[in-house]
Amino acid sequence: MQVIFNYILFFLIYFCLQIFLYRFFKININKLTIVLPIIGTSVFFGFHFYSLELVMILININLLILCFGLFMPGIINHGPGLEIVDLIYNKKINTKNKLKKLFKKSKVGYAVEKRLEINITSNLIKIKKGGFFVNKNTKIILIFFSFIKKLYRLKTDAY
Amino acid sequence: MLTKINIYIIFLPFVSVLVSSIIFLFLQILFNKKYMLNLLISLALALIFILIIIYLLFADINVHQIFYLIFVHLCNSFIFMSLVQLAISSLQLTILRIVYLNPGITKNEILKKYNSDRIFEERIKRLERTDIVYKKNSLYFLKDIKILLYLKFIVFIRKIFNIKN
Repeated sequence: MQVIFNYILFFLIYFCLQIFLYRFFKININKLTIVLPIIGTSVFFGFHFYSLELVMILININLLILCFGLFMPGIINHGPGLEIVDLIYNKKINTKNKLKKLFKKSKVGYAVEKRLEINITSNLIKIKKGGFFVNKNTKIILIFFSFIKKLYRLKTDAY
Repeated sequence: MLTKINIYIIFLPFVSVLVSSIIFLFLQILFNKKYMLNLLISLALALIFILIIIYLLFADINVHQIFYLIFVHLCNSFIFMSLVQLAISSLQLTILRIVYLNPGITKNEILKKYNSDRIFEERIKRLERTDIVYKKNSLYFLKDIKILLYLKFIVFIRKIFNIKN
């Protein structure tokens, strides 16, 4: 039970650290570029020291960090679907025109510009002569997600 | 010490997510309408698979190992769910796809193709299709109250992180 208690303690410390850094310095420590090298290195050390306990602890901790990494963007960038639910339930807006008007006025109304900016700052898109182009790595990401979409017959909204 | 059994324990939760992805694939082929339900069923079945394997094969397993198996399965399930969800509704990916299909496109051209009007139309249609909202006399109402729990959780977390709307 001591081990499980230690995991919970680690989770709380990590969560509090993330809150502190984001609240006061707007630093998100859960970026994949930070997380993936840590995971690779620690799994290597785990196997190197030949200990089951160590490998399990490292995998648990790293997966927790990876999950945080996937969870944080959803928190930082409010989703459009949730914004509509919020308008319907909390603001009691029920007509389509009013919903659309308030949706466009909210931060989600500028979501495309914001996501475009994120894509540029995270080097997924490069700018040449005023036009946008995707990088080689971005192509791999898009092919991967396109494969998932086709394999599982997922219905996406656009493109 | 890493014995053969220990290696099995380490990799079992990763195998279980692979199993859940195969179950999800079959469920999607058979019942393509509600992907989220299919996803949850496949992840739950894989968890049951792990528990059966633990019961049948690992007689002298300790609490730490059981915790590891379940925790890693849950983390992997979350990652798998996120990947599926990203492929469906990520705005960032949609913009990347537009740029990929139209090399050299400008910001204004992107905004003509994909803007808040279009996002609103897509999302309201999907909310209707997935039975989260319903339309009555051209008014929209919430149907699935479970989404409110998620909304409240997100609002709470955003307050903790001091993220303003």
